[in-house]
Amino acid sequence: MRIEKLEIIKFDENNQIYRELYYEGENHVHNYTLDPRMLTWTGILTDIFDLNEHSNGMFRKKKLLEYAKLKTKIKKIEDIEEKEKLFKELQIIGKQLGLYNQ
Amino acid sequence: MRKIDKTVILSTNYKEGIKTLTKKKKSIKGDLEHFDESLKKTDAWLWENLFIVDTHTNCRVKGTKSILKPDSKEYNPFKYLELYLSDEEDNIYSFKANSNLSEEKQEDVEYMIDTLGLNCIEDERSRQLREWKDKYELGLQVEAYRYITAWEMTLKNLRETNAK
Repeated sequence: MRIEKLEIIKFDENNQIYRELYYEGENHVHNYTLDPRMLTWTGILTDIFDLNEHSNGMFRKKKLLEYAKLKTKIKKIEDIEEKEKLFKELQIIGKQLGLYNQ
Repeated sequence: MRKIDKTVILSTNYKEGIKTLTKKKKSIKGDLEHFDESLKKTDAWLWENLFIVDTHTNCRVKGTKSILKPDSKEYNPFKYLELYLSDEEDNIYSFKANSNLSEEKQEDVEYMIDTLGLNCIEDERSRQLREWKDKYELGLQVEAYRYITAWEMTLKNLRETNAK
């Protein structure tokens, strides 16, 4: 996919369609103010499609906390077998959070 | 070259000459290449001269610089490469040219990193590194079976940080 110039059609407060331009001045020149090729998927959703950044924040934060707590717990345990057992649990959480590969 | 899965060619997997097995292939996709191309004419099947390259990587635009060729005598990834945190938000680590090299050499290395597609798999590689890093920091044994260079560099960084 080659993006020549980014323009997004959005609705205004009166539900009227308007064009939002992500460049200033002339077209067909390198003057992007926002370029999706340099954003992450999250960045595209939040910065271009105005999705609320914290839409799934609650769930994710809770799970991240669980992940951090379990890590601290494993660190304190000295028995290797017990460590290995709990690390398997950490792997499941890590995968759920997308921190580890599926 | 694809490794043949012997269970696929069993006669029980065929009914009236049609393959009935829908087993997912686990084989890798790779191309057979020669270290020394000049031997192709006379000794094309010389075992020591063959190696497999990932098809995706091999199909990319081929570079002309011999730097970073694993079969080169001077090959040393630690001399040429450096692993750095390229995207803090997503915890992505990528390869870049070692900053100890001259600017000209760094450009050559960056070119080869792109040509060889060393950062094409940075998402998956970074997640794998994160899992092993966690494991290592929790006092467990890590047996790295892929991304060896990246893992060794991560380990070196971890040891240096811990020593401080």
